Amino acid sequence: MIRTIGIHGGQASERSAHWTRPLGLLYASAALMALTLYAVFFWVPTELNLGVSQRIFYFHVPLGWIGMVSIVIVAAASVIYLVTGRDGWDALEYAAAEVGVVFASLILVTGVIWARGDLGWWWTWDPKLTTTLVLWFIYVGYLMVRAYAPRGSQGARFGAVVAIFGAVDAPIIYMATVWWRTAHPELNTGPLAEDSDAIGSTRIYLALLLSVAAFTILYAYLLVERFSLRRAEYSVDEAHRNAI
Amino acid sequence: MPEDRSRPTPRPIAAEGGVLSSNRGKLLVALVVLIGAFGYLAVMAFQSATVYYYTVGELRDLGATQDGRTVRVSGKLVQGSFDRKDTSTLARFALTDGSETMQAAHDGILPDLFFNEHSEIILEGSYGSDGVFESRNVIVKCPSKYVAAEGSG
Repeated sequence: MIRTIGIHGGQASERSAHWTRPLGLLYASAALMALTLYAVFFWVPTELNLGVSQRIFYFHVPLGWIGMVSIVIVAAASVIYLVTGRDGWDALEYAAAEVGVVFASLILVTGVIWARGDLGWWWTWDPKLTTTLVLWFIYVGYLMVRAYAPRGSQGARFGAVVAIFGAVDAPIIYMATVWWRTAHPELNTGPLAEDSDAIGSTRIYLALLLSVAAFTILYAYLLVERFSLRRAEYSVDEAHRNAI
Repeated sequence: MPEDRSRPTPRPIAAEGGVLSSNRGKLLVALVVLIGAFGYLAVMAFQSATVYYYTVGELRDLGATQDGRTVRVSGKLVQGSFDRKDTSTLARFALTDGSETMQAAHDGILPDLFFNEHSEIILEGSYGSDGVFESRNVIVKCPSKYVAAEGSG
């Protein structure tokens, strides 16, 4: 039996061929990113104890946020895909995993640079760092499963299983410094922060919010682009199957 | 395009029998079992492995480490306890957890933040029977409290 993966039948190719690029998201993320760079390098005060290198904070934190959010999106889309069987959710799931692995890699890279520069060590096997590395492996594992599993709905189901496990890691990473002793600094903002005044400067706080917004919109842009491209790939696959 | 060439919807599968006879049902059962197993494993593994470091007081109670085992101890540098000769990389200092203090030695380069009074310091090494912690690795934990430096806005 031939299984095609486009759900819209013959209409899919036409629809996907004319997808509108989310240019609004692109411009908004570019503008916010420029503003963030200005804030980080010219506006925000230098931190007293960490000095100039604390500025990597404004990249490390948004990357961490997106890395965790993205695996949750992958898992949520997976659940909906398993229930409904609609390929659109599978495309979203795959796109979120592919974009997410980039952010997850950058969490590790920026963290390693920061630790080495400020604190004199590259890596240590503490709960926060280890669970973040696990997150990276989950993304990579997901993409490997999708690459090796047969193309079509079976591969999508295998991937969904990996993603649902993987999402469990996101809250564990977030809570790691609350639950366990770590070498990673504690949460310094948010409802679970032990010291709610840990960020003692309004400018530092605003710059953090700005950078999180900029990276979130960048992520949304990349996600929508990759999603559309994935849909187009399905249509090409389907057209190919129909042709043979 | 004929309908039968599009992707099969879940309905025909589910119609063949109960939930367990469909592939989706089996997958869901497998998922629940796997999540349970992994969750259990994770909790068990973490309970033993999450003592990333001991405090000075805890390590004192445990006593000297045996057979070159590596342990981590965390505390703050006792201000004024740091001693290193100009021609040497061997540093001697005291570490405190607020109530108890421990002598420690480290041979190597130390980052600037090591000397910051807000920094927590984690030492990796062994605790000798002479009461001195021989550090092989220094992991400075940077303060999570951010304060604007004077004169920088």
